[in-house]
Amino acid sequence: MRPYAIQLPNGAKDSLFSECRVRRELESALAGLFEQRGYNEIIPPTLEYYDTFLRTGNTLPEEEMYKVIDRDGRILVMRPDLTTPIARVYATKLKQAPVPQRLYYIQNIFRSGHSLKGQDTEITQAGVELIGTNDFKSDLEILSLAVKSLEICSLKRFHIEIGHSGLFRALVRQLDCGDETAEEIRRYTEQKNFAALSDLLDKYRHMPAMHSLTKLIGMFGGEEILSEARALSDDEGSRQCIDYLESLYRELKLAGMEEYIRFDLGLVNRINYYTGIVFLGYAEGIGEPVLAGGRYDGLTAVFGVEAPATGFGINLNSILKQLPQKQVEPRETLIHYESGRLGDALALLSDDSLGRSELSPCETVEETYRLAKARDAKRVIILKSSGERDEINIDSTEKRL
Amino acid sequence: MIDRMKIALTKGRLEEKAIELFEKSGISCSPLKTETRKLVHSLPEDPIDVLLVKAQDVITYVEHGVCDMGIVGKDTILEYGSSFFEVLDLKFGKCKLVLAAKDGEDLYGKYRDLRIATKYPGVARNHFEKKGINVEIIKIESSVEIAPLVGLADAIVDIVETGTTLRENGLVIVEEIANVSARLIVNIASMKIKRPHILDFVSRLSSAL
Repeated sequence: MRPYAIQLPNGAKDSLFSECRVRRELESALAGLFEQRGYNEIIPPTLEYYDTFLRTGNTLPEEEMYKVIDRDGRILVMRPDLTTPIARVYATKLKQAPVPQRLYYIQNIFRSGHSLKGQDTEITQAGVELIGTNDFKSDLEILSLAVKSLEICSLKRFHIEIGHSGLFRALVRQLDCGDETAEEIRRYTEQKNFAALSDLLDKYRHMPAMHSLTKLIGMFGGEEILSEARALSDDEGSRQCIDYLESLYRELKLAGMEEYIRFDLGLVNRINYYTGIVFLGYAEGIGEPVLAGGRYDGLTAVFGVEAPATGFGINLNSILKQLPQKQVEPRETLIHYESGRLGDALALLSDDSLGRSELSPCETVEETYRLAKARDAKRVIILKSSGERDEINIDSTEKRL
Repeated sequence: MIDRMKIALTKGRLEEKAIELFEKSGISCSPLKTETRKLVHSLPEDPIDVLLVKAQDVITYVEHGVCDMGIVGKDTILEYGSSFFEVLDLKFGKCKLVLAAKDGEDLYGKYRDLRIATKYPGVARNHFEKKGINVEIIKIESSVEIAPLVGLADAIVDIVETGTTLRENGLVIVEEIANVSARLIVNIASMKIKRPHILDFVSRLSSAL
């Protein structure tokens, strides 16, 4: 046999029965929620030009994208994210449409992970984008939708941590340290590498912003973080960011969501991509963020149309691993039909009073009966050519024999 | 109920030093000090389970979130690390990642690609990428110092503690690449979900440093 004939590539997986059902139920619950909140579905193609994904400020490492060469020799990729295609769709097909546009997707993305590190290469993402508005209320709408989405995922304990990309930018601007150092500060802040950050910032000891930056890295937790942050800096830019977060919190609290909202002011991943709030969702027992989002007002501009945008994506794979698997119940009824009764048999399949039923492929009633017992079915219905209908109930005591 | 925390320690010398530090911070490690083949130990006084694994696996366990924290050398982080918080420099297990070659070797005067033998292909690639030099990297699992002696490679990238092994094999340090010491790393989600416990643990360790 050829060596790869029955193996799966690393990171690929089959889903069977109950796993599929849990997944489909979750997908349709999320789709229902998104529709209810006024979002419309978009299904972009799986394959798109490589160039499309090089446009955004959020380019993945080349080796993480699966590539295909089309018949004309152009490079296509299996989409590594869905935000880019949504932005492309907006800029090419919806630019004349009235704003705001509320869009959602539930599709798979593909990432060629590191080999043998146990990472999925095909990930189902559910996400929304609210395009065309950059006001307070759209951030509020997206955050409350993020909370509700995780709530219907039936996770044990979860919360969303909000930061503001403007805060870090305002503080770094005061240091006047050049792009390279700024990136280093950002990286250490992202990694919460306290030691390396304070070493790096030591030479800016005389500047007040340096003290703020060294504190920023540890500023995550509940709303008390915001009052701590207030003491950080009297600079106008950073104060506005904190005011903004505080107003968001106030509204979310009044709407009864405060238990799900926390802050991480050191949240600086992909800071060049986000232009306002950024947020990540965490759930107990899951070792990676299950939700990521924020405001990226430059998103559609790379495709030639300026429009502010905010949104988030949920990683359904990591959530599904955490959800309890349901058992698939056996079919309750087997339908044995004789010549001429196929139509009636098919009609019975949709009769809900029989429970879930299936056709028997057997020639004789005896064989059907044996099959029903082996399948743990409750009854056999026999449709005879004469037009008669019989029913055999399978005794549960007899089933054990 | 207090959530238990799992911490992965790099087996061997880092493990001994880590246990020393834990005890200094008032975390009793008695089950770890008895001679045993057990790889998972529950600490008696704190809600902490300790796993003993190889360096690279510390990172894998922490990234997947099956361990909340880990203690691992900076060399391993540079080579394999990607997404976790690196919260403390524990100041033990100190050494350096260096580029070394035979004494008198004119490394950059050759009109061909250099061949570099190393246990750290990622670190070596990054180093030469920054310098703008093409190299061919050969992965060697142990006693990398032999490679230049037998002509397999022009130079090596490896960790050096005292330099004795290099000297005894006629090699000298050409460039220093990075300072290495043990680090405390924390899973990104654990930091957020078990915040008070983790921050408390971190501050206990850092005040004992």
